[in-house]
Amino acid sequence: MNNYHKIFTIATCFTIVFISSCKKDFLNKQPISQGTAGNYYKTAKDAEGGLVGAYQQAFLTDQYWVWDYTTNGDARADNCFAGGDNPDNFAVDNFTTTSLNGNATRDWQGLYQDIYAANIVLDYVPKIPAEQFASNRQAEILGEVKFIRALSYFQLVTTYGDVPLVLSTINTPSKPTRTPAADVYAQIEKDLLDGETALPVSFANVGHATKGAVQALLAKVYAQEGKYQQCLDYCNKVITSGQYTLVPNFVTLFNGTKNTSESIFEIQHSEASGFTTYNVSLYLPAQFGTYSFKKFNLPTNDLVNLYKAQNDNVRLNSSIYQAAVTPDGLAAGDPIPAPYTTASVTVPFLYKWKTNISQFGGGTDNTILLRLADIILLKAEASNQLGQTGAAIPLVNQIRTRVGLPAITATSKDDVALAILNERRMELAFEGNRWNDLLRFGSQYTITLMKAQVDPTGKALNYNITQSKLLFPVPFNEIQLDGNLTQNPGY
Amino acid sequence: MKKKLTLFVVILLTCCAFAYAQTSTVNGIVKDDQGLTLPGVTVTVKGTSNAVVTDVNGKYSISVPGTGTLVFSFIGFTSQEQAVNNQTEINVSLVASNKQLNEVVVVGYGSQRKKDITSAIATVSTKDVSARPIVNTSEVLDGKAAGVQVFNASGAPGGGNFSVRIRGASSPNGSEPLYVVDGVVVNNTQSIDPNNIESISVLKDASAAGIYGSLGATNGVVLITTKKGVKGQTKVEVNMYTGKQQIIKKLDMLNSQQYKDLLTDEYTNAGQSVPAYPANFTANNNWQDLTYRTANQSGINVGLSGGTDKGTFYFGLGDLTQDGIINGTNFKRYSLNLSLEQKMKSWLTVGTDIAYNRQDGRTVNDNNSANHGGAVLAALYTPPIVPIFAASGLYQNNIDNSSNPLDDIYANENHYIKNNLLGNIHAEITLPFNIKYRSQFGISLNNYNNDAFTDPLLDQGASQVNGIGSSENNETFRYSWDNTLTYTTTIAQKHSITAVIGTSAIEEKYTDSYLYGTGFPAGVTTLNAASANKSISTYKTDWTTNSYFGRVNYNYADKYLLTASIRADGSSRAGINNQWGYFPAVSGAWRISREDFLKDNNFISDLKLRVGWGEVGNLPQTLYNSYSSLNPAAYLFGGSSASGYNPANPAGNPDLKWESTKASNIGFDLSVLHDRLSLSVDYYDKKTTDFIFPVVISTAEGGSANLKNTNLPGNVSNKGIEFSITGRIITGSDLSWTATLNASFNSNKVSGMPQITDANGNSVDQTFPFGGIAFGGSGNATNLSLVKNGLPLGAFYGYQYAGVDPANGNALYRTAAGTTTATPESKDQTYLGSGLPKAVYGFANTVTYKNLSLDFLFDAVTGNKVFDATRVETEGMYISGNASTAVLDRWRKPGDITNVPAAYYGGTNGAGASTILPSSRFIENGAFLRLKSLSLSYLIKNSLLDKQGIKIRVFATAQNLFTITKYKGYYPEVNTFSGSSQSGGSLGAPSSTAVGIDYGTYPQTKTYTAGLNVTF
Repeated sequence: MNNYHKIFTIATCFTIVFISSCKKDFLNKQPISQGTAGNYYKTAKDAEGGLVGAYQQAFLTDQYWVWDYTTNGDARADNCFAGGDNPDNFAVDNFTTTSLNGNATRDWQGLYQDIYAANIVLDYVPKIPAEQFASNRQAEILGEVKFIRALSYFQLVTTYGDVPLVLSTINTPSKPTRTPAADVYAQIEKDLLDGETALPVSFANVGHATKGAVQALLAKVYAQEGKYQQCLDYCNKVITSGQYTLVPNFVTLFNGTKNTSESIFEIQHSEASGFTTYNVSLYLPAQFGTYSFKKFNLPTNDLVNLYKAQNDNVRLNSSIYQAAVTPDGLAAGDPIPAPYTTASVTVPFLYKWKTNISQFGGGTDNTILLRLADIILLKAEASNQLGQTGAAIPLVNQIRTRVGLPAITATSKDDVALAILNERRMELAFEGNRWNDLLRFGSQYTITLMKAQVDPTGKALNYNITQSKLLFPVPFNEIQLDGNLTQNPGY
Repeated sequence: MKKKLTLFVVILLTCCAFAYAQTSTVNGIVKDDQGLTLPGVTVTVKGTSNAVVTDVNGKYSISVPGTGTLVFSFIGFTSQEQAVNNQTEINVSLVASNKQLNEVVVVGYGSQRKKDITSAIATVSTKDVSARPIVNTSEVLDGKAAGVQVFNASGAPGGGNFSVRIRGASSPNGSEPLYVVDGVVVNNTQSIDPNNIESISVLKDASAAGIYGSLGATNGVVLITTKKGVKGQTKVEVNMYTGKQQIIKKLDMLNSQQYKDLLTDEYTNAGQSVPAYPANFTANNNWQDLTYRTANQSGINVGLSGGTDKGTFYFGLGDLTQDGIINGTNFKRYSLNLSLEQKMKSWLTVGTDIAYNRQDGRTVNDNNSANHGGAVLAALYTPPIVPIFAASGLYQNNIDNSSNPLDDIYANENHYIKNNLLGNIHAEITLPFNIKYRSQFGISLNNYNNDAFTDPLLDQGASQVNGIGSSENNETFRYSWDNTLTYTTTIAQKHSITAVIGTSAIEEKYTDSYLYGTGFPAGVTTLNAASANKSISTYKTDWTTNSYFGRVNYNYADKYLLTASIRADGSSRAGINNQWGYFPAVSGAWRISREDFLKDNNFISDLKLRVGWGEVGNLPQTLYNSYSSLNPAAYLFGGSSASGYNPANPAGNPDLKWESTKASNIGFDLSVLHDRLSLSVDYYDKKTTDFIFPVVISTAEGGSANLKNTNLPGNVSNKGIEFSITGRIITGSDLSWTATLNASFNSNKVSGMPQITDANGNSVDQTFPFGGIAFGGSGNATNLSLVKNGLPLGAFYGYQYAGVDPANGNALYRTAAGTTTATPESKDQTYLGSGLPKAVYGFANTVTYKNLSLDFLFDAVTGNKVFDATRVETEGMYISGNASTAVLDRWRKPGDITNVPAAYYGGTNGAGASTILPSSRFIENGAFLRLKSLSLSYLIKNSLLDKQGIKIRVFATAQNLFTITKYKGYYPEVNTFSGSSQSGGSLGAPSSTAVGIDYGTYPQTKTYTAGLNVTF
């Protein structure tokens, strides 16, 4: 064997040794049984899938739009008592919330999860080549998730004040700081204006956010910012769009009928597994086929009395179920939640969502987030605030006429403002609007009103509400994970 | 080449015993120094290539010139020369050479003589345990190697739940070593029948383990060599035994009246009315007696081996049947092993090692509360008054609807089948320039099936849904391909160099399916018959590693030894930005006894100083760390469901890297008085950094993907010292006694964990809780252990129990300020001890007297605590189950001085004082000393058997004959968080962060066996 041969043999073996494991992509393994964010979002179909994910996260997974928006919007205000037996809900109702409060924690977390699910679509879908999409679909998808993002930030900024403004899942700063509320509002407006441009007035498949939905939300956002002229403009855009009409009978809105002509945006539910909701399980007594326990968000006697004083039986009976109290408890089968007692003649239950197919989580009614009546009353409010009181009154009466109530008698700007506030209270009870309505009326008004609240026996509740309690605390858990987050004053 | 061929032919011819006479023939018998015949000894005519090998009876016959000289050589013995001087019969007795030093030790990707080793490697041969029935691999190591703690966490048959801890616990993500069987890196040892193990090398320090880089070598490497054939020794070995296993002790529980009194106290103190006992609760059952039994165990192993110069073979068969001491449990294993080695050409050797076994067994649920079907706790929890069956014919449930143990045992048919295959094919090519090329392709296949069925005719819950069935099937398949080039040379007779370079690639694929259903027609238990609640799930994963490595051993005149290695590992499991890691190691040794100044002394026969340093890694246990997951999502558009995806946990971390361990070792080996006494001492210091923890980031930043596997700055250090002393105390021809004592001392400490903000805005160390137990069947787990700076890994953390308030019977706890209170706050929690032992001891002995041989092995651990979480249930007095007799001392009226608080149903009195907080009340000393095994064997000798070359040995063995311990539970060697070998796959290893917790774990056994070992 000559040297040439030897060297050749050895070289061959070296080659074998080092080629043996050099297969291309040998070390690049990706999940087999699970999608990954980096791999997904490659086609138009993936973009639709991401959009589905964003809707599911915000409107089915997150508890916020099941019942927390009602707890924060109505129980914190004067429409409901916390009910139930959950200390966190009591604290929200009584203004004794701390940074450890479970509701304050999960609302923050849920809304940011909604934003994350929207952001991931906004990160990846623009990178998909436009030619893959039918006509304007790519822009529509981005418009829809911007609606979800804006809706979520609107809840955050009204609930917590300054909040971190995170707009991407990829280039997020580590441990983001809180952004001034004005900047958050600016981003909400920008997202909604983008959505207005991108979205059509309607979709063949109902359930998507439309141009009307972003315009209606924008009207509400402008109102909350005190920008009443822009609010009025956007109310008008919705009202004159020709897409929406008030249903003739108020009852139609809350008897299981889905996607009525009045509906601008509603969460879609059905009997199918995964698409039911559990608000009914939390609100309605056992005679409706729910488990027997102390139910939540009990309407206040104050609200019941308002309906009664106005002879508003249509909206009272469509919104509140009054269960008779027997010497042994509740005829409906549940224990009586505080502050109602066996001394109460009836106990009112929240009754806007009624259809129920199982003991827990069997609600099948859609959840309306935006409807025309809200926008009409908002237009009335904006007109009145802009000095056009005369234009505001017929709008209020339009809503009252539907439920058979006489026209309002108020004429002065201040009286009309109060009449609008009351009308919104009766029309939109439990739909999560009351707290923001009160704050638009004035924080001192809100504080004074809440301090005057009484229990069903007329005893003062003595809520310890101060200016700082108008905002929720930033959750302790989140401050612990992000040391750059500051706490709201008073917590 | 031609010369080699000639030699080859000559050897072939001599082997075939075609030796043809030239001058005269010499016959004889070769024996060892103990008078036993030696087969396989090479007898060579000096200066020629004429050689023969002794037969099974040690006999040889060779043609030789009358003036020639015969050379007798055999591995492990000093060669001997005998001049023929025209004799026709020459019998020799070979003297064992310095066996230990010349013993060949398997190291990673090669082997070394023991005297050349520069790092900390322990070796164990199965000869050391041959007289014991061995069920699992860990038993081979138990008590045999310093610094190696073997921990059998349960007494369940098959004994799969063992843990081997080498030099302490190195990582919160698992502290089990890497196993390598015949050169194949495997994920567990269940593919091999432990009776088929020839020897085990334990690479304890990083300088030895460094050649395995990031594959998990942070916890050491266990190299297992299976039995092979030996040339010239055709051998049949049969080993069979049968025996009985018993529970070591039972616990004393309350009788019917004492139980009823307790419940009256519990409910009365809690201000509730005592529930009425059902009318049929009039039995008087001893549930432990109904649950436990004396269980049979028997095994047989047959090994056939042999070989010629051209090739060797080993063929092994095994059968093990082990019933469990809990009724209904059993384990069977049938195994088959084949090892072949064939010299195809003068330059080519090929071989294969194949191990297959099938295991099947029936299990019961343990490590679980009675409410969750744990049979061990149910046997304690179920009161004596509960009848076995209800009037309905179903098993009677307890007051709180939990099952009685016989329900858990008999109504739940839980059967598994495992098929395990491990094999490799290898080829070795001799190249020019002293280079050898070796290529080895290995596969490992673990198949697991578990069928469970809860009988509607026996179980109350199942009767409501007409039976509950499930079936899980999974497969773990792995292949590996290793290629090495080895170069050896000696320069100027003094410089010996061995260099290895190589590559290694591994790919593993896992697939799992799970089926579930209810509503079975009578008599059918398979899932095709399920009619309701049917669900299916399948799941697949895979991962790869690709490695390059090299090592150089340098030896100067057998005096100065140096080993240096480096490994580069790339893995799909590391984040894509950190896929490659580099692991260097270096060690050196000085054989002082070879220096001139010691050469002529008669006292020291060997003295070697070893120093080493190395770096190794531990790959992430999770597989796809770079990628953020998506979960399926759906939403209704237009009234019909649209599907999509949603971001989910865990979030991707493309920067994730392996945990890294840097370790140094210094030690020496000393043999004195002609090896009558030998001593090894090692000191080590190792530190694991870059801990991987699932870290949660803020929701604003991470949304629903806010959990990310992250390398944290924390570290765990293990420092310790190990001794191993072997004495050949008596070396007479009739009587001999050899004893080995090993001891190791380890201290484990976590430090450097990052700071976080606490509820008061203070900066505190981040901690991670583990060891969650859902007491009383509640949904919420209480964590018993914690990873925290300054404490050992997985330290017990909770409240310091301070006795009972005589005034009201409240349990008192020590506050941080030193006072006592019945209502402590979380800041009052403190370190309560560690489940990791501070010291581990083994003491192995072999005494032989003529044909009688006595082996006994003691082992001991000290410095560890056990959290007896079982006692929370049996002494907590907060549930409607039975309690142990310890509660007879409970507080009953003001003024009672006792250490057992008042009984409160629910565990808290009206003022919120809890009697059942996780506290030092339930923590006990876990130290023990036991006689792990005692074995007496007798070699039957008579001339007839001798003539046929038959050796028969009978033996009797007792295991766990006695254990000295203060532990109050069933057995101190216990861990609820022991993982499970029953679910396949690489994951599910014993926990390293929840150690020494006893919560209804299958109790250990005492075993007596008798058997027979026949060799011919």
